[in-house]
Amino acid sequence: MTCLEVHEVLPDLLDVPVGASLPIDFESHIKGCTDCSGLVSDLRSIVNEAPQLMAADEPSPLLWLRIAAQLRSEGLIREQEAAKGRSLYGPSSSYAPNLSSGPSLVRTSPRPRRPLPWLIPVAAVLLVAGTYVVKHQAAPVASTQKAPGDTAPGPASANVNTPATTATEPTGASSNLSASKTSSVKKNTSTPDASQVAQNSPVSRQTIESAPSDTRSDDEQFLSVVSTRAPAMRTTYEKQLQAANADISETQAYVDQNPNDADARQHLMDAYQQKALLYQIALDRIQ
Amino acid sequence: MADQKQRQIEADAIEQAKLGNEAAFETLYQMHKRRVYSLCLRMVSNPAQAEDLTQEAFLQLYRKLGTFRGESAFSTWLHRMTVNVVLMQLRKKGLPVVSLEETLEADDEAPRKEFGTKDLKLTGSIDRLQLQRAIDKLPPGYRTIFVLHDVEGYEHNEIAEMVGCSIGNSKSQLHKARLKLRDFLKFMRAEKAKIS
Repeated sequence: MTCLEVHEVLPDLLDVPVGASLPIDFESHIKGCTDCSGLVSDLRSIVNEAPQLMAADEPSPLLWLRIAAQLRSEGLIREQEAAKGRSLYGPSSSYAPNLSSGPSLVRTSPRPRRPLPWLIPVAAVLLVAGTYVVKHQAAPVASTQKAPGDTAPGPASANVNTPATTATEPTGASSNLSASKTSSVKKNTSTPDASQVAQNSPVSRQTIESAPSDTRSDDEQFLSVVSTRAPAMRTTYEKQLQAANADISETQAYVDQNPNDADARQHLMDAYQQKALLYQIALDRIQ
Repeated sequence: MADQKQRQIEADAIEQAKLGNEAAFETLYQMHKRRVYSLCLRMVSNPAQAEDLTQEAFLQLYRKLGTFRGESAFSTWLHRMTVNVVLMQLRKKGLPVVSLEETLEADDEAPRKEFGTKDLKLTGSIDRLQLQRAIDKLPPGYRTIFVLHDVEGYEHNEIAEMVGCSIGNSKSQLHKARLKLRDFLKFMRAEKAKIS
């Protein structure tokens, strides 16, 4: 067998299982030809190593939230279905709990969906609260307890906070901050009236509408804190922030065009929640 | 035993997800996200695009879950669906699913390039990261065939059906993809040796 003939039969012979017998003239040529034996050996190494690449990577923890939000926006998943329980396989990730199946966001009765515009400012308040914590990390707990008076919102804030705190189990100072924040919002969990929430909430409609530009500097500050305290995590959080911001902008634009679309509002709420969670989780982790 | 338990969890989740249970669908997502994402990533070599494709694959899964009858393994069914999502995306973007080189060069041209030149062997085992980088450098058509056959384990007849080419074409492209990978790996080794 010549080198040319070896090259012609090689594609078929490479896929022959290891240990299987090969044509005698092929084997005798390989034994005597360093070029061909090197080629066969290299290609076998590639073929053997390739399957190790399967399932070696993991998508962003936010991906499930995007998928769930998309399914809801298409009306494929209804909230009452989400109420049946959490994933049989465990939480969606160690630090990105599935808010849609949280206990209070989900209605248990199958009444028709209606817009939940009051959830949006509440999520925005969380962002503000997150930023507040970033800016005042050194501040004593007592002062933090006063501040979220601002965060007063009502049931939704409790909903948003609870999964994050249970998922990340903050320690030390962050634990105090989170605990104080959670307890402060839990006090208000009995009044889900939207108008009341709107009255109590310090975040005006104007604030929310201007949020994208306002939060840009907050994002920068947040990333700068991450850079200082956990430089290795900056790239990860930066990418996740970008994804969250892009989702918010995209959804906001759609909601502006379709203000009566309840699913779009829900999607927007999800987007804000993702970002608020990201802040909270990062703060808990880097402290 | 553990596998059996996993299969039972999966079967329960499939049935619940068919009824619209989000938590059950999340279970399926958690069980298969790595394989689906890795497949997308290998085929497009772009993490952001791979996430979009993973999202699309799971959305399609949810929409079509009602048609799953259990005639094949669920993972096989989902995997095939993912491949189709990726191939559709490649076609939409105008990227050749079957390498254009295949039609431009004579069938036996690429292997002959090896002759007459001193052919250095790749010494030592192949680094997985380097192999991934080399795969990323492959033209999309070669990459598709290589990933489907050597990484994901599809047979040539399955690839030919999915991609829309002949079995011979699939075999030929796979061999050329492997040869190219070898060249890329040797080049990367040489570059690394120069630096160190």
